Amino acid sequence: MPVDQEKLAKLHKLSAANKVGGTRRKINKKGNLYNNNDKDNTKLQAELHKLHPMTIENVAEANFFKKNGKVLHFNSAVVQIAPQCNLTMIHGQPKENTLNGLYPSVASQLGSQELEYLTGLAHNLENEQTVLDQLGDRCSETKQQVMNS
Amino acid sequence: MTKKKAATNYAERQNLASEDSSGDSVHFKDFIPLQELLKDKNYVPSVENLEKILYNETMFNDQKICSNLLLEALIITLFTTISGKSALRLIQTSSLKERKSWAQSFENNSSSYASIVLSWKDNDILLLKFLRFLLANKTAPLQINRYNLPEYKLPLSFLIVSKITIPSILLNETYNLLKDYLYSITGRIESLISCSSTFDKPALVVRKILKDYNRMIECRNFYFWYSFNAENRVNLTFSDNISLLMENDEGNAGSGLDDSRFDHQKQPREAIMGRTINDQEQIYSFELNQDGTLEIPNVMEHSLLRHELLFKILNLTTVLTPLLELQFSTLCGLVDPLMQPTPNDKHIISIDFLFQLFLGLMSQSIKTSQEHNDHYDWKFYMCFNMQKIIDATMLRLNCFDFDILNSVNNTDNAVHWKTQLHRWLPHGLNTQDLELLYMIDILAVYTIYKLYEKIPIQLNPFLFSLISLWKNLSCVILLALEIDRIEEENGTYETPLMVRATIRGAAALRSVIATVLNGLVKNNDHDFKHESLNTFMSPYGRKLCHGALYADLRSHTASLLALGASIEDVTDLFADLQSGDRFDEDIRYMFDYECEDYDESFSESDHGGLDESVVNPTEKIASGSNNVFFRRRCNCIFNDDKLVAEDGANEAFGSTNSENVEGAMHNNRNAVHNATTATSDHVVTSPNPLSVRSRSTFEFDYSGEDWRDVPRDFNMYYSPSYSFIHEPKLDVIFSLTLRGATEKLNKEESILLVRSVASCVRNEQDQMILADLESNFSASINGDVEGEGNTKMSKIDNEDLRRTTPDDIYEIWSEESAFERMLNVNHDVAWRLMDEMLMCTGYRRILIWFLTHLELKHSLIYYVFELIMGLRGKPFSGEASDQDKKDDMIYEILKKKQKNEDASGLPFSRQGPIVLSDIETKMLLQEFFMNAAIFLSSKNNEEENEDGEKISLYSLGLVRLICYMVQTLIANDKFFFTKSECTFELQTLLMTWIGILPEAKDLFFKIKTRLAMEEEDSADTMQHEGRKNSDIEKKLNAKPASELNLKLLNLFPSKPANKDDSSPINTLRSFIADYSFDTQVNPPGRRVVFYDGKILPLPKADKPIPLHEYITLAELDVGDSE
Repeated sequence: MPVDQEKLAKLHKLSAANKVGGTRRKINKKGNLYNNNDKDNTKLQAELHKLHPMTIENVAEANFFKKNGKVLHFNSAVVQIAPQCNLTMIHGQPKENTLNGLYPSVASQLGSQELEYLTGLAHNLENEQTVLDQLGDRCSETKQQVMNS
Repeated sequence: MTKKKAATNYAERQNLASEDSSGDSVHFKDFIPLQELLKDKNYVPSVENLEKILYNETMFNDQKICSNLLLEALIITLFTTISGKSALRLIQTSSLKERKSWAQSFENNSSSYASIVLSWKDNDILLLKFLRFLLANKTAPLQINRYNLPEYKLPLSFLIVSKITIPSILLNETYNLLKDYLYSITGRIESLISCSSTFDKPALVVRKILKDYNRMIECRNFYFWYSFNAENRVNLTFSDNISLLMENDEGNAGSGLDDSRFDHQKQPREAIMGRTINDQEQIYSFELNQDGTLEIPNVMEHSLLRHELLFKILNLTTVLTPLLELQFSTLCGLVDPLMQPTPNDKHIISIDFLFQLFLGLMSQSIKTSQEHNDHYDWKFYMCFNMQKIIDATMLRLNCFDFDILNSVNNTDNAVHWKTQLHRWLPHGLNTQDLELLYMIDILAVYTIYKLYEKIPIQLNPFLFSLISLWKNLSCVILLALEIDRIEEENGTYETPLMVRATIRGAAALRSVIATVLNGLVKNNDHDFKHESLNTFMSPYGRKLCHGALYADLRSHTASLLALGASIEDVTDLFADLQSGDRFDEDIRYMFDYECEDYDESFSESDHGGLDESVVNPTEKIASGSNNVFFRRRCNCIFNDDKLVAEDGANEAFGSTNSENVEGAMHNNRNAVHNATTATSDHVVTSPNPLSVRSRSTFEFDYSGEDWRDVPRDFNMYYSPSYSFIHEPKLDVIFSLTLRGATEKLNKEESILLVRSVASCVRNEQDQMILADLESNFSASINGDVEGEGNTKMSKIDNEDLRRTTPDDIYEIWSEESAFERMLNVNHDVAWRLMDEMLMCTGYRRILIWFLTHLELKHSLIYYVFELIMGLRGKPFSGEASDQDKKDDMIYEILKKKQKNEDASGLPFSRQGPIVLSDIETKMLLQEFFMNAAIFLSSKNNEEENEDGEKISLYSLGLVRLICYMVQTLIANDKFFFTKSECTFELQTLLMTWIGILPEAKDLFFKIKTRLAMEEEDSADTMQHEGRKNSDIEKKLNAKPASELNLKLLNLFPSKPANKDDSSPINTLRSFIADYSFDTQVNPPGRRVVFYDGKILPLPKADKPIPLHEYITLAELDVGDSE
């Protein structure tokens, strides 16, 4: 039976468009890291409520500075304080950021540790450059020697 | 009924306590503070140190330390911490019945747990460990009821000695470990801290411990943590007493407990202490609105917006330079005072520190750029962007085009300066933005320098633009200063704020560029590392940086030419460029209000609370002035820092003369502190000048200048042949001085007057030496009684000696110009009196000032001459040294003097000729010339008015004499042209007489030529030395210097064919061939004698108040108001 090539090509085209179950598509799953925590939140909230904390509103941001230069940044955080228990709670969705990333707005919050971290970065940068310069000098010297010989 | 019950309970408790205690009163009796016991370990009482000691278990082995440590730790932990409070509450609230039944339950129990509990009672080591646990949790209350749960009990497992039983006891939830432990040691604790009255030994010990640890506030606070009821009232005896201990000693002597009084106190205190104290907490203050709401403007957001706007205003485009915007915003964030990091104990927000932060913040972006491009020269791009920013800001600041700036003429009378402002002042910027832009430029320039620090500044790729920037800024400063000068001359003082702000910013930036171009950044490290940028912006904040150029600019020119700049550009650049200007002085003068001691009283109180021994010794040096610009956070020492005398001589002087001095100060009107402050105005305004006796204890400055106001050399020793009067009478001196002012005194009277004055001065000197000796003597003996006896004796002596003092004599002299009048009648006596008074410590500079402000006379000129020549006093002999013999005139004078002295019978009371220090000589000549010039010009003016004649013969004679005097001084090497600071004054004096007196003309031009010669000589020697040094350096370290020179020579533009050898290029070529790039510039002014990189902690006033201190202050206030 002769095969109508044109028809076949048409069928191929159609089948490509109509795959069984549709074409496969990657779905970017948005994993919510804090979903698990949310489950516990209610219980935690209830427990904390017993301490009768005082709520401070309109806190623009709260930052936790880590030793590695990273910052746990809470944007528009809710802060609760229970001084009798020496307890301070910060609620919000934290994002980890770097000091450089948050820089101008966190400038006045930097303590001596953070400032030292930044100056350490500067020293590293300069040291790396000096090593590179020395290597470059050596390379050019050897090149010159080769050229001379 | 309740009272009875309470009393029985109390008795029972006492019994129980005494059963538990094992001779605890011994503890109090033998109590030795840990501070003393651990002296070798430098133990300072503090909660932190106590905790450290408790962790060091080897200490527990020493019985003595252990028992004292237990007492201190117990009192501090239980009464001043929140965890201690929880423990104590349990002890107090538990009823006796409860405790008894608890004890019985264990006594009848044979379980292992019961035996452990019973063993706790007498175990002090465990108690110490338990206190350590409480101290570790000092800020948290203990939830005692939960200590049956394993996770709570785990930290207390140290209470169970046997390791096998630990798991079973921890896991068994029926055992409340904490409660059981507290019950078992209640008796022990009570017996340890019970005290029956506020005056017995234990109470005093408790108070001492609390005071030593500075925990009074926490302890007081503790008292109000309780609500008392009748049931446990008895239990309160010790805490009642302890609360009483905290009150003032005398206020509560013998007073019993008055509930109403406590209620009254409770109110305000509770308001303050509604909460518990945390050691780390600090106080910040805010201003609340009327309705109690708090509004804090979001400074950060505003500033960010401002920076964004500035970026737009500057027309900076990011198209070709991707990091530009980031770089700009980072710079803004770093330099903006509203945004920049706050200073802390370890860091000063200095220019260098900001540069490091900038690099740190940019590092990530730089690395990303490097990843994308292998040959990315980040240093150049960074600096290139900086240059772009500088150019953009300068354009906005209207300080870009030198030709326009140079064409502005403020001094033109036809055009008012106000109409010219638009040509050189920025438009549309406020002063804050203006300062911010200048700050950005400062950091940008510093970055350009810093990133190319390793090569000489002459080879910096941005050298051309730096010099051009310096030139423009100098021009702007000149224009602004002109306006300020015009305004001052007119007396209107209306220099616009924008002009002032421009000067302030431009001067700061100019000083950074000049320092970089002069190659002095390393020398001026103090300014870049120890002064904050905000301080640096003030003319008084910069301690070392100058705005003027001192470097040899030929090297810069040659480098620019070698590196490819065209000769025309370089010529334009260096045209109109003036080195060594003195704008900085004018700028300082303009901003002197910034240096006023407006915060003197404030900063004085700063040290009030500090123990004097704690205050850093360098702070003492730096605190010459309390101004914020003089307060330094480093150990650097400058050459003009004053050394404070360590010996007691001056103190003794201060104590013996304080009354007189105060009196004198009260009467006197003008104060002269040193040679430089006395100005010419005084002589005109005050015909009878007076000055205040100096009480300064400072003797030498760091450059080694001798500022001591004391007789020198042999003048300290009395002449053995001189007969002093034991008790000189004030009335004799008074009457003779006044009489001597009007009539000639006979020989006896003259001798009596001079002797009396000499004896007064001698008495004072003796008294000072004795007082000094006595203070050393009394310090060496410990016995108070003997010391008292001594002081009593000396007091009687002092009173005798104090009858007549040099202050009295000076007062008589100044009164109705007695001394001046005496000069007319008895000039021999008067000058001898002056000789004697010059021997008085602390009076010499005043007397020099006094005599140079007298009316100019022949005898005055002669006296000044004699003083400087060393002919006053008692020159060793007429024939004297060989050198004197050479000069016939001096020899003649000496011979004549000897004769006169023999005839008049007025010998000098000390040995040797009167010796003046360098500073005193300088002061004498400078003041003398200055006042002679003023006197002569005013006299001429008067005579011109009266007689129509232009010159008086008298004045001519005086000037001629001064000329002779100076000639003789020069001939005898007593007057140095370059070293002397009075050449300027002398030239001013001679100026008006050049055309009249040939002597004045000769002298004037002699000085001029000598000055010029010496300058040339010094320049030559310096160059010669420089060459010598560079030669040596070349020999020693020939490679690097010659390499740079060779490279530059190779890069130099080739010799034009049709030009001869004298072209400037050739000159520069030969210059750069042997120029050493290590050549150091020596700018005038302040120098660093000692540099130390250490940064001192922030002053107390600049830190937030710790909560502990705030409450202490509040407590004091409450106490006062009560």
